[in-house]
Amino acid sequence: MKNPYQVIEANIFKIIDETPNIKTFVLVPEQPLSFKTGQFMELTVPGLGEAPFTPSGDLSKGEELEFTVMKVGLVTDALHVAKVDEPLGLRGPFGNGYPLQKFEGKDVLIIGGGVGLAPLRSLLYTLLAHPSKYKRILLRYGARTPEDLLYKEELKQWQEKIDVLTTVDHGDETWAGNVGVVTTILDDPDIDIAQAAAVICGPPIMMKFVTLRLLDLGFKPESIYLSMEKNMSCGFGKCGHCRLGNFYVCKDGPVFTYEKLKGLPEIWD
Amino acid sequence: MMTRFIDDANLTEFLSSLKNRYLVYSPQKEGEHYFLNRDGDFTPSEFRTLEPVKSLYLYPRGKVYPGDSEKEAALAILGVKSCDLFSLKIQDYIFQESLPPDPFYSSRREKGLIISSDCISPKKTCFCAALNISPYPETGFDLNLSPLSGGFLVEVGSSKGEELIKEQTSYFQEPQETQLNQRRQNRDDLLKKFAAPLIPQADSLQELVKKGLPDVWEEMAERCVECGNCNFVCPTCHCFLLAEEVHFEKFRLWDSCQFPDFARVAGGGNPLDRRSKRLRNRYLHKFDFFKDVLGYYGCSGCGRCIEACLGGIDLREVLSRLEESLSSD
Repeated sequence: MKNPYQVIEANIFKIIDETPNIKTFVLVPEQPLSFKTGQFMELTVPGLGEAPFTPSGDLSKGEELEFTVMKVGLVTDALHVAKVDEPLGLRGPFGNGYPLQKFEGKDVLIIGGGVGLAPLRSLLYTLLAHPSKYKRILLRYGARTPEDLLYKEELKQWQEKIDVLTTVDHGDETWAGNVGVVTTILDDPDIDIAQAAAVICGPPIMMKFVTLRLLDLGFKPESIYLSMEKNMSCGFGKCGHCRLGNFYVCKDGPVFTYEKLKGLPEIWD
Repeated sequence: MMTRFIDDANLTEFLSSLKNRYLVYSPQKEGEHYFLNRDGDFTPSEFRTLEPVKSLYLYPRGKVYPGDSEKEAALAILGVKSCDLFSLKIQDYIFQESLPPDPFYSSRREKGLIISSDCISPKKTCFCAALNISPYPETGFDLNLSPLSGGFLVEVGSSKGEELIKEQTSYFQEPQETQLNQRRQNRDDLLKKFAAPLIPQADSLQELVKKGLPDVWEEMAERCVECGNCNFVCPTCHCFLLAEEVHFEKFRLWDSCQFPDFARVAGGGNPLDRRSKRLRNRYLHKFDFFKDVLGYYGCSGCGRCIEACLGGIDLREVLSRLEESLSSD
């Protein structure tokens, strides 16, 4: 019987500084892993522990896996001082991933907040590999300040291919774009809302207000896809930490339609 | 189901023959309580053990990587009570049926043998019958023992149990009508000891934990000292922490949803940031989650959490107070 607690070793191949407190780690696992975009892995710092992350890179690259990590706690603090060639551990992939087939033939509105753009970047790579399958792809992305924006170079490249709007909560002298939370760049998207899918990833408060705004705009609850963040530990529905209503987020999610969760009072807690 | 009679002397020999194939655990009395210990003589206990039977399938601290579940010796657990048999349905769902299975739990369960026994008299904290769970084993065992004068009725509950009887058929006799009647009488007497309703109507509990007023949770959680005892003694609680102490070695450690950091995520967000929310979480998991997912509650009525709570929180009182909070609304 396969042991789902098994750790696959992965060396750090490259570390990219994204923002003052976010780095992207490019890992080379000792064995190739097959993935659906939106699935997550448990990333282990040896001798310390693990935390869940959704790969942020281009999954078609095969041998490399990218994780974009904000420095916010025990495991991520240790990751941020890790060096190239150091070994890390991986378990997974776990969870359902994005239902790409449901997006086919539709407008896809992707909305990210802060480090929540990480899994959406992997989704963007996947969608942009076959752009003709989807009507239009739109990205709306907000961060706290201009220097907190992730993937600054790629944002420029995406802007040439798809409709991208960015915003920051607090601008500075370098910033000529929109200032305000991400809901301020959601008005009047040039899409057929009745036939569109929206994909949201970000902090709970951002996901809440974006969802409410999309409902106001006429999105159907079953067309709004949320990447839920809970304390996923084991990754396969055993350890109980990520229960949300009658779901274990690690196994039944992490991607849910709003339709599935809308009856839960604790959804945004 | 096949039923046989075995006398006291033959039972001793039969059970001792199991030691050739199994690590045998049976309830041993220490003070007022029974504990599951290795290799003691089997005596029919009046009620359940202090520790839940899960502790032999999911150790409080168990290495899960690297590790090989196949190499472990098979366990035979004797004197398991109906409440613990019920609880294994929950553990089986989580660790075996919900995919992928946990290889350690699955291997222990598949290789293991369970010889259950009827309760004789419930503890003051027992309320299985109020949840419509039979206080004597009806399912989930390989063999069940019902004590009679001079011996036991042995009921076969699985093909593994049937094999054992067929292998050592000389120990067993066809039961007599009077013996079957005596078991029926004993079981009727046992049920009468549960006659007084201890909790609100069983079929109302899901609604009560979902809709009961916040004041009840706040007030009850005032007594919680966040020790986690309720979770550790609970036979259906399955939550654990996956810990790492040395390079890529993974351990499963029992965890408690009453601990402040149980649901905390990176960055400090905590959906269960108050004791009242954590207490309610425990009840929602048992009476809402499992009811929807499996069709029955994740509570066996064993009463261990009542016995173990340092703050004196009584699950039966919480449920009754929730009911009052709605009826006086």
